[in-house]
Amino acid sequence: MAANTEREAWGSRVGLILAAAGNAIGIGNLLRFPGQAANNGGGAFMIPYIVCLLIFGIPMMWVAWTIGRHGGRAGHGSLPGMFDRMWRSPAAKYVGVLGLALPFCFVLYYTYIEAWCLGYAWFSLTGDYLDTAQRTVHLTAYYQEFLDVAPSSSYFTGLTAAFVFMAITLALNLWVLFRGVAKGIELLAKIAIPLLFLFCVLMVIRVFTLQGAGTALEGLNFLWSPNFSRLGDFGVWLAAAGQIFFTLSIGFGSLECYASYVKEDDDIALTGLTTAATNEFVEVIFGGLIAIPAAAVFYGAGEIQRVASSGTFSIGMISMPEVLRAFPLSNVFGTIWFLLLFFAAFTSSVAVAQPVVAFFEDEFKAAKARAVLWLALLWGLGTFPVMLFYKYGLLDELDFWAGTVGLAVLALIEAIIFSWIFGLHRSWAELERGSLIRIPGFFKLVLKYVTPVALAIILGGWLYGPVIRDRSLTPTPRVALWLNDPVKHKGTLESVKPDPAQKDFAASFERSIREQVSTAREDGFIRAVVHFGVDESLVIAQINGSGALASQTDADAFANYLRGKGVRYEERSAPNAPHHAVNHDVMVILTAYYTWPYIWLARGILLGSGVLFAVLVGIAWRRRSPSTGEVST
Amino acid sequence: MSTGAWLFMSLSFLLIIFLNLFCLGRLLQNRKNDKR
Repeated sequence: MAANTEREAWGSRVGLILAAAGNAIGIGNLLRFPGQAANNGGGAFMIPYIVCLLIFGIPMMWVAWTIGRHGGRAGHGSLPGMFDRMWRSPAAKYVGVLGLALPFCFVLYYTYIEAWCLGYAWFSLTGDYLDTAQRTVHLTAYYQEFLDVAPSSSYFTGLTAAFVFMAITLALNLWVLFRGVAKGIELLAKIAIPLLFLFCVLMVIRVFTLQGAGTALEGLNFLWSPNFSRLGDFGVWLAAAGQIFFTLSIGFGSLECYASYVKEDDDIALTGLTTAATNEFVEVIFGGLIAIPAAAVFYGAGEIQRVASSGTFSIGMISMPEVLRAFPLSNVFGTIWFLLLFFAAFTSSVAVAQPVVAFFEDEFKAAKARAVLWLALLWGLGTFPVMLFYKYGLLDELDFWAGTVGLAVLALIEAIIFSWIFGLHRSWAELERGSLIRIPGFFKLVLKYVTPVALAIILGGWLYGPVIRDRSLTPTPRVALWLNDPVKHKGTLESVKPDPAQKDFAASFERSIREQVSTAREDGFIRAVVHFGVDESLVIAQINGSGALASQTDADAFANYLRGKGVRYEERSAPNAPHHAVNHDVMVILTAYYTWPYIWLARGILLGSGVLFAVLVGIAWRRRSPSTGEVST
Repeated sequence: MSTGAWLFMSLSFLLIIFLNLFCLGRLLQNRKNDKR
């Protein structure tokens, strides 16, 4: 294969801005933002949100673009080389390994989420999750069976469907990366971003023309009513900072990689600001106008809080299809909604994977095909544990370290290198070279002091919660309750009224289950046929246990556990009508998954990819000729 | 919708739209200069 001698370049400024905007715009814009705003002070959330955008969102955007263009001038598209140019220390390139290991681990699980969106777009088009005369589709069970989390197989058997969509998604990503920066990534952005805007507009029109239990305006009222009392809460500021952090794709090394393909004297200041502005447009305007107003129309004003606090994936993959399938043209709008999420994710995943391709191309002088092939091997290999062990929390663990803590660490390092090691004076000159806007001087102060301090506080806040307060570094088994055969039932298991007398017992029962599973080091199951009476009675007809819980067959104890948890089987006359209790015999399954090996596998993947890239960096630098800094051939 | 909700929504939207128009304006101005 021919060696790569010349670096690629963007075809046009519009293409670059669309690609960078595509990098920043992701699923979080449409799903995470409204949930965060609604749960953290409504309209008042915008005060810390805008402050965070100004004190580290936009400044860090400029930092990333500056580091990237500076590195690109010396032929580096990934952080090891970029840091090496700015920080004359042998350690610099190894610190830059974070800019390869973090995006690589991130893209392993993010592509899986992207594949869910593609899968759901297909299921929407074919009407697979629509209720029919023969089949009631419980969207929660549907989603959990698709990911092989639920013990039932009413809608999906195993991970076959998920594997198919994952394979397609992976192939699409690799194909775009193989086509290169201008003909692949830029072309994708030129198609996907206008489509994304069009789909957003169509969804907004759809949501605001629906008539249901509530109105879209009630949703807007819920989302934007300011609650100033929350502004004194540190957690709200941390949430705003986190949202700005995730939404702008800071600390991935991907913006830096995109910036490395910008010509030496081309503007980066306005390009960086435009990237942030476009991203904010999709997040604040479209993000606020789709999911929450849609939930308000369908479920009514009283239920919005439940939907808003149900989490990013629940809003996107369960609540939205529930809303859309209740109205005409559900196939069309369901497909549009999930394609919208898919495109948002697709333009981000190629961006986050590109630094690894660039690393092989720039530091090993590999041809594009070979660089993509190496990435494909690593990516394909890493995909299996993410999919197979999703139910054991492997994806969440990767997300915590690579997609949360790691990003803050990398961003903090970048801020320090920019302002303190390379020096603010030189960095500022680099940022302003070719600039189409004049950046106000007060940002110098912000970049030197405020941004690093703000990033350190965010990092401390994220580490404090799980690591110090919750001490959740030790993996604990995951316990959950399920209906054995959701497709046969019109109702669902709901946690309604915990019996105060049994509440403590329920907690100790669950604790003992976790202990048994931890001791046996294997999964455990309890299956029980439960008679739920309309008079709130609850009788266990049959019970058996398996795996680590084989001996757990005490019917009275299990009944008291269910009472203590407030578990009821409830039906609804319509999907958005209130639940009501009915007489019913259902098989309930308690699953207790032993997560320890999988959580440590996730940590092993993180550490292993760090070591692998560090070794590769060592090899690449050793191959350089010491006098020229070039790779000897 | 309450007045507070309207106010915060409108101000947020206006701010974001202003930021986008500012960027768009600068980009178009530069494009025009490049053509000259």
